Amino acid sequence: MNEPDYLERLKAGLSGFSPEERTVLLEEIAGHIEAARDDPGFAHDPEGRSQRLAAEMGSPEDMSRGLREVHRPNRWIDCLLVMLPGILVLPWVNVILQLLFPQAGELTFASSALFIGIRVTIALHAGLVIVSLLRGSRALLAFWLPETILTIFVLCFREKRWQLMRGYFNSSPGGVIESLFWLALLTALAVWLMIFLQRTREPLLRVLALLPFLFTAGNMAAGSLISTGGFPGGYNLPQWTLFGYFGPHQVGHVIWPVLFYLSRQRPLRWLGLLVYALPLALMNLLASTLYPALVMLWSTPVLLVVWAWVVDVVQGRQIQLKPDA
Amino acid sequence: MTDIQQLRKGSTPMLILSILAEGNKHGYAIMRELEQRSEGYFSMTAALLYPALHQMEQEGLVTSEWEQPAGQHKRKMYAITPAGRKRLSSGQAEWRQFVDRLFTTMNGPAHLHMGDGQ
Repeated sequence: MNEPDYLERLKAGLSGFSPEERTVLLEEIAGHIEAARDDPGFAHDPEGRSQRLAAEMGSPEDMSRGLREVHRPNRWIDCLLVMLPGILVLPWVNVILQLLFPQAGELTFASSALFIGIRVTIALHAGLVIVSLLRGSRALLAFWLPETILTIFVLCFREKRWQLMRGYFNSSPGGVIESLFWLALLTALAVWLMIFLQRTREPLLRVLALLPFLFTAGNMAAGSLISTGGFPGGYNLPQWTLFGYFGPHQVGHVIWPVLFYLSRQRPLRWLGLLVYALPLALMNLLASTLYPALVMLWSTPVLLVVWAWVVDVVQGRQIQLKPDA
Repeated sequence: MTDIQQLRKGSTPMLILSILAEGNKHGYAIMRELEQRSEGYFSMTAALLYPALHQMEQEGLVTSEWEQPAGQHKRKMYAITPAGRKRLSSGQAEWRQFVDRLFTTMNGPAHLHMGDGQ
C-alpha cells in the first residue's frame, strides 16, 4: 500500500464527516506520513517504505473507525433518528390504521388494526436497524435493535406464537410457519444483541440497550397484576400532560436523545440516560405503590443508570482497562 | 485481546501524556519517542495514536495547534494542559501502586516460602 492509496482509503472511511472536518483530519495524517518520509531512519526504497508505512500506520479502516468513534460525525442525525420516530411515527401507527380501516376491528383479529399495526411497527423498526447499520452507528443500533427485539417479543407474546401445536394462530400450516419465522427472527436478533453487548465495552451503550428490557419487564408484571384484578381501582398513571398529549414520557423522549447523542461529555450523556429512564419509571412507580415488588421492578431502570454512572466515574479515575470505551 | 494487551492499550493516554510533559510534539514524534523510550515495547500504530490524541483533546488533557515549518507539510503540534499534568501525576501514582501491589501479590507465596527457610 503506497501513501496515496492509504489516504484515499482513509478519505473513503471518513465519509460521515463534513468536507472541512475530513480535510483537517487528512492533513494531519498526511503530515504524519511526510514526517515519516523525512525521517532518516525510515526506509528509502519504495518497497521497504511501503511495508514499514503499512506496519506503522495500521489499516486506514482502523484509523477511520477510531476517528469516527471519537468525533461521532453527524451526531444530530442519530439524535433525530431516535427522537422523531419515537414521537411522530411509532405512537401513531395504530391510530392511523384505525382511521384508514375503520371496519377492520369488526372483522377477525387477524385483520384488525392491532394485528396489522404491530407488523407495520416491526417493519419500521427493522428499517431503522438497517439505517443504523448503514450509518455504522453503534449508538443508534444500541437503541433500535433492542426496540425491534421487544416489539417482535410483544407480537409473539400477544399471539401466543410459541404454542406451535395449538392456539388460534397455529391452527394451519401457514400459521405454524409464520410462528416459526417470528421465533427464529427473535432468537437471531437476541443472539446478535448479546454479541453486540459483549463486544462493545462502552457502558453507555450497554445501559442504553438494557433499559427497554427493564421497562418491558415492569410493563409485563404490571399487566399481569392488572389482569388478575390486582388493581381494583384501576392502574392510574399520573395524568401530567402538556397540550393534552405531551406527558413526561414524551418530553423525556425529546430531551434524552439531545443529551445522549449530541453531547461529547460523558456526564451529559449519562444524564441523558437518566432522563430516558426516569419519567416512565417514576409514573409507574407512583401507580404501583400497593406492590413493593413492582415498585422495586420499576426502580431498576433508574438504579441501573445511577449505578453504571457511578462505576463509570470511579473507573474513569482509576487505571483504564477499557480498550474501546 | 490478552490481559497484557488490554493493559498496554489502557496505558496509552498516560504514555502520551508523559511524553508531552517534556515538550510539545506532533503525532509522528510522539510515536518515535514512545518507541525509543520503551525500546519498542510500547510501539503503537498511527491508527491507535490519533484517535487517542483526539479523545484526549476532547477531554481537555491536551491541546493542539497547526504549525508549518518552512518547506514542509503542515503539522499538528500537541501540548499537555494543566488538567493533563494533573491526570499524569495522579495516573503515575495509581500505576505505581498497581504495579507494586501486583508484584507483591504475585510474589507473596514465594516470599512466604523463603521466609519459612525451606
